Amino acid sequence: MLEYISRRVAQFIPVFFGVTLALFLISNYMPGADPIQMRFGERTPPPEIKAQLIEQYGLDQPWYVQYGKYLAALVPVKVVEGELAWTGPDLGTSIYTGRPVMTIFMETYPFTIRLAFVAILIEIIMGIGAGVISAVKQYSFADVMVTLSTSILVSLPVFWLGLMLQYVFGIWLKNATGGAFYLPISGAESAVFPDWVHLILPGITLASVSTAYAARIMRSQLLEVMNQDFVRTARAKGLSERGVLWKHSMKNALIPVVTFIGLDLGAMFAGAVLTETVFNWPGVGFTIARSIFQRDFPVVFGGVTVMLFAVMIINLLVDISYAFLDPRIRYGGKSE
Amino acid sequence: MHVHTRKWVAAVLALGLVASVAGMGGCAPKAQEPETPAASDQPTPGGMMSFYIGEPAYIDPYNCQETEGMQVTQALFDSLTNFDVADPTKVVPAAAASWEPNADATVWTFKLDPNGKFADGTPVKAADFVYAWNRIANPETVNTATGKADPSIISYHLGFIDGFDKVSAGEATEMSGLKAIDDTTLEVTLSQSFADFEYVVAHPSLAPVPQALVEGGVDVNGEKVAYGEMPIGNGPFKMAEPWKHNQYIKVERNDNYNGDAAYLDTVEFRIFKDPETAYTEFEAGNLDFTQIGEGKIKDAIAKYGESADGYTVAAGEQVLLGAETSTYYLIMNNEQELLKNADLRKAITLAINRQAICDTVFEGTREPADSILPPAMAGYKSGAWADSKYDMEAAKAALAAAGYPGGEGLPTFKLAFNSGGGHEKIMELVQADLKAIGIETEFESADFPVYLKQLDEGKHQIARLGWVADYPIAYNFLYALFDSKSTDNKALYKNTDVDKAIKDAEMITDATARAEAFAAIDATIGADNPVAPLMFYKHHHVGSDRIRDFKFNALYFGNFEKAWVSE
Repeated sequence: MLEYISRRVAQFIPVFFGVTLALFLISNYMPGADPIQMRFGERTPPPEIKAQLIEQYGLDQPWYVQYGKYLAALVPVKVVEGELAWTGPDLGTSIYTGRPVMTIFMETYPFTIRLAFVAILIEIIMGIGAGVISAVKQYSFADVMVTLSTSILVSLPVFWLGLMLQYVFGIWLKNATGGAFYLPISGAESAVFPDWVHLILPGITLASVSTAYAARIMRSQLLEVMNQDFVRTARAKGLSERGVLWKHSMKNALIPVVTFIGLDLGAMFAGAVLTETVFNWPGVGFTIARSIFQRDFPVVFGGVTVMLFAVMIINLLVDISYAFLDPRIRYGGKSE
Repeated sequence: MHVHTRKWVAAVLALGLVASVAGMGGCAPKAQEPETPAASDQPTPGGMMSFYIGEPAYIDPYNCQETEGMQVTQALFDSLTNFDVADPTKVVPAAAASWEPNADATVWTFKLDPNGKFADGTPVKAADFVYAWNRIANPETVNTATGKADPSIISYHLGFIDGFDKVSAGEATEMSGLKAIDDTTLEVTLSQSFADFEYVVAHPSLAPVPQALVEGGVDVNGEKVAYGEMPIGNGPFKMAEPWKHNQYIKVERNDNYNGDAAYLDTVEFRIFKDPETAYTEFEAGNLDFTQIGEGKIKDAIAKYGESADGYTVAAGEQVLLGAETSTYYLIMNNEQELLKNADLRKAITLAINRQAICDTVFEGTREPADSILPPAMAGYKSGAWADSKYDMEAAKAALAAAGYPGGEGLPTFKLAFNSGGGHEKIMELVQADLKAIGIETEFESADFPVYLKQLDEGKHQIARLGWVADYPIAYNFLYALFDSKSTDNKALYKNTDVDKAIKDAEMITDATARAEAFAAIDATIGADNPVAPLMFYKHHHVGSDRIRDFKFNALYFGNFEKAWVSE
């Protein structure tokens, strides 16, 4: 297992350098890459202030020097007053707000993680649940309903669904009950609601499309597995339907679903721009999107760096989980 | 099978029901207070007002640059003077009880209110202004969040003060023109006459700051918080807790405030990524003041009623559509061979149907511009730019007078704008209007920084820009946009008489006479049509029916200190 993890970490190295290098090249050669001007809006910046800011953020240096400094700052151990000391990785300073990028992501990532886990939980319970019902009761009313509802969910734009949920649960329900029961429309915390209630609507919105896909994948995989010889054998042995489903069919059918959900979790860790915007959720997605617009490159680079590590770790965990689902998968030897 | 199906469906439904009931139970407001009508129309202390803003870049005054941060800063700080809420073309005393310029407005003496205090109880002294202003001018000033140098990008406010150039060049750390004569006397010497200086010092970024807290941090429950996260000021409100980035900034009444105590207990500046979501929150009754979402102005007026003066929120008159101090205009490159022709510029400006743009693109949330100076500004005179109106026949006549009857002999002009800002819809109407008199144009759009760079290079022909006033003074528009030496003069207009007249006007210490002088300069520039003013920006905001006496003025400042809530 250790060897496998080492190999996967080694595979991450070229991905990391490829992505970050591409980012640096794009940011240096894209037209209009002038983050200092963006701070001044339509005003002409005083030349001396502009020059100082350019120098301060190293924007006057060649891209490879900037890239080298970025890499060096990422090393968590640095020489401080002649001695090696743990300083933690430094992601630089936001050009737009003058705040440390690490602080910005330390503030925003917990919100992204909370929202992602809620969405994934919905995806697992509702997606896998609906897929199993649909497969077990193939061509039944429930199957038709699952097929229909997943088709609708996949077609609904996320922002539209979010707006509708806000209207129904935040405005209509509030008016209908005279303010007794409703859900918060936006934000991550308030004096009125417990924090977890704020997760309900954005969680459902973020999970919507993926839940539909998870249900579809679950259904098709389960149907395929249930027609295989070993399932027939299990039935012939006199195993109950429940035993066939949960002990034999599900374990085999789950691998593609787990892969999909794992990838989805990785994507959610990169932030959900639309959901965060509609629900005013203070996560990383909007922070990075806004920074791209503002050409606030240190925040963009910092965000991508954190995302890369997050996605790598999640993918690794997903791969390791295969072993628990399918006993045939082993990670030990080179013969694999 | 059917029995199993039913069980499954029943289980899922039951689960959903349980979840929703649990959710609803959990989401019941913690403190349900029945709304009661106002007992009287008299202001009553107490309550909270919530106010929409985007995430500010800074709320530390030294680098407070955009409207988001300034909303907060002006609640936390009092500068030397304040813009009058009722009439923002005037200034009123704030931290300074009185002030006086010398005869040619080069030396200003401000007498501070001796009872002025910061929110922590320490007195506000003239030295606090000296420290705050030198901090803005000094390029080595550190950002309190990082401890690294982070120069202020708004130091231009202080550009007139003697010694500013040396400090901004890093050759000195204190402006020679800035002196604390004693604790309550601040003397400011300018490098040239500037009679409007009393307006400059009303800007929220020029407020005093307490040196000890800026450099040592603010104590919050035994922990030091960077000053930039929790600025302590001398205004009617103080920070209730450190800035919750991307969520809210909560301020509470400052009991050490020397002026009239605010009625509101707290103001919560709620930070939204998108005004549409903020407006949905408003409609749900969870927000007291916000922008109105795109395309919803008429609906909002029908639901909430329109404010009588465009700036004050009253029950049933809640939608604000008052003019702001900003103008949207087309620049014509006055150094470009063809556009040097004044009659051609006149034809272009006369050909544009401004009302149609305001109505079709902006639902009436813009107003056709008849001058480069917006209405809420000393020096504005209605119709000052005689050609800034739609007159097709006059436009055709001017085109003929320019030597191009029906547009014959003219090449296709480039009509430039920055992409992604919704300008294309406006430019389509401008293009159609110009085509109607025979002037062909083609679009040239680019990302904002590229676009501005193109303007700096002076290769443009006709292009759009907008200008927002820092202070409600004509100088802020006329010098910046039309003085030969100004870097923001993108029309490349050069008129030495105008340059001199602007400088002379700033020697006039009588406000009324100065406004008259600027009105005359405005008309002189307007006769040359170096640019084509298109629209004045207007508010598109709405307040809840529970807030009283709240004004949101043309400069985008709210009078939180006077507002109260009816419950």
